[in-house]
Amino acid sequence: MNIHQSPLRDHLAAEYVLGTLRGGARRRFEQLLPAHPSLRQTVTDWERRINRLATASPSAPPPAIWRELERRLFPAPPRRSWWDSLALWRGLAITSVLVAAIALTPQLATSPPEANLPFATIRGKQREVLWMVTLADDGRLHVSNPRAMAMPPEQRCLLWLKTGDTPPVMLGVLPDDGGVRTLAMPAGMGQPARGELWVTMQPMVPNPQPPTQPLYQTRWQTL
Amino acid sequence: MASRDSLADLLARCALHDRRAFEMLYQQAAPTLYGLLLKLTRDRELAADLLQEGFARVWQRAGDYRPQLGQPLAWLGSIVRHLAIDRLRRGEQRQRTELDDSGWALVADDGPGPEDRLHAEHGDAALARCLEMLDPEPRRAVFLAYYEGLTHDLIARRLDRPLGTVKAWVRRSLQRLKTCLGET
Repeated sequence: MNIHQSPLRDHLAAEYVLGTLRGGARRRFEQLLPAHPSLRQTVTDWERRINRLATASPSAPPPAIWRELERRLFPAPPRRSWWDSLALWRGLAITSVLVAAIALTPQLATSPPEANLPFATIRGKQREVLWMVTLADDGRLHVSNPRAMAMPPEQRCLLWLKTGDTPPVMLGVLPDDGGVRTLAMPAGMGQPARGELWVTMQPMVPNPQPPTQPLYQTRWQTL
Repeated sequence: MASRDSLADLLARCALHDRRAFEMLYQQAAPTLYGLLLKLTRDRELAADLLQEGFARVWQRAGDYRPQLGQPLAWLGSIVRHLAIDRLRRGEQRQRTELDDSGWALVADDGPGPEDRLHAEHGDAALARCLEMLDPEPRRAVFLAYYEGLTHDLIARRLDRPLGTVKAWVRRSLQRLKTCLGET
């Protein structure tokens, strides 16, 4: 089977999208996709055509599906005794300072909370977007890699936070497969949406040393 | 009441992890995708399970959507269909013959054919016109593959035609659809 032969490739892509390519052939075809961009393009073209059929017969889903989906994707934070929580007292202290600040600064009081959604875009040499980083309300970072990257073997891209003169702190491994990852902030990290984000490329080792130079760097922005 | 945001806008906002946009996306797209999954699986429980799985994937991958990939609904459809086909083929079991009463009612209620609905409800007149150009039996073979997830041999059994004939029908129908729809 010569996959590079164009009519065959087109035909296999069509049958794959329609669902009539089955068993071993389907699996082999799927294995070829990651390494063959033009084959992926052929599949994309067929998906665009064939999936126009998808709109034919709507049916209201049971409400329980949405509730279950919400519970699965957005689990409530674990409950504990509120008076045990240092965060609560710290939060109250911060809130009272904020309330005082807002009371003294009328224009701040009018801006909605979403207006301060920190995000950062990490661009490559040709200004192409390599990663989008957003800081969620729960303090975690959501990183998306819009396009899968061809990485050298055994190498990973790491994300670091560089503030002031202190060495950068590692935030985690960046996705390079065109996907999305959520990175937890390291404990004790105060206000992460300050400073610069650094990206390095290096082999995977247990405790990587903080870099002195980034491969890419960017600053936080707010919406 | 805010105007209905386009699905493409909602997907873009989901990529930034906007939960409200995700809920609106679900409200707008879930009925179409659930309908598609019901047809494919003929099993309400499995369809519900796959719809949830599909939307979880959409939440994680909303940033992958590009207009070149087609209409947002078609892109969402391809996500849930791949999930459904993988699940149905895993073991190739026809567990969907176990239908409850409402499931049977759903199968029996053919109502207007898919092409009529495409035309009437979604205005995809171009697709409806291209489907009309296919001969009835080859068109039925394509529908059985798309809406019921049947393989060539199961289509052949259902239509009581030789396997080779069905394969040729599907192949020729796909090429005719491609030519008819053009490269837009």
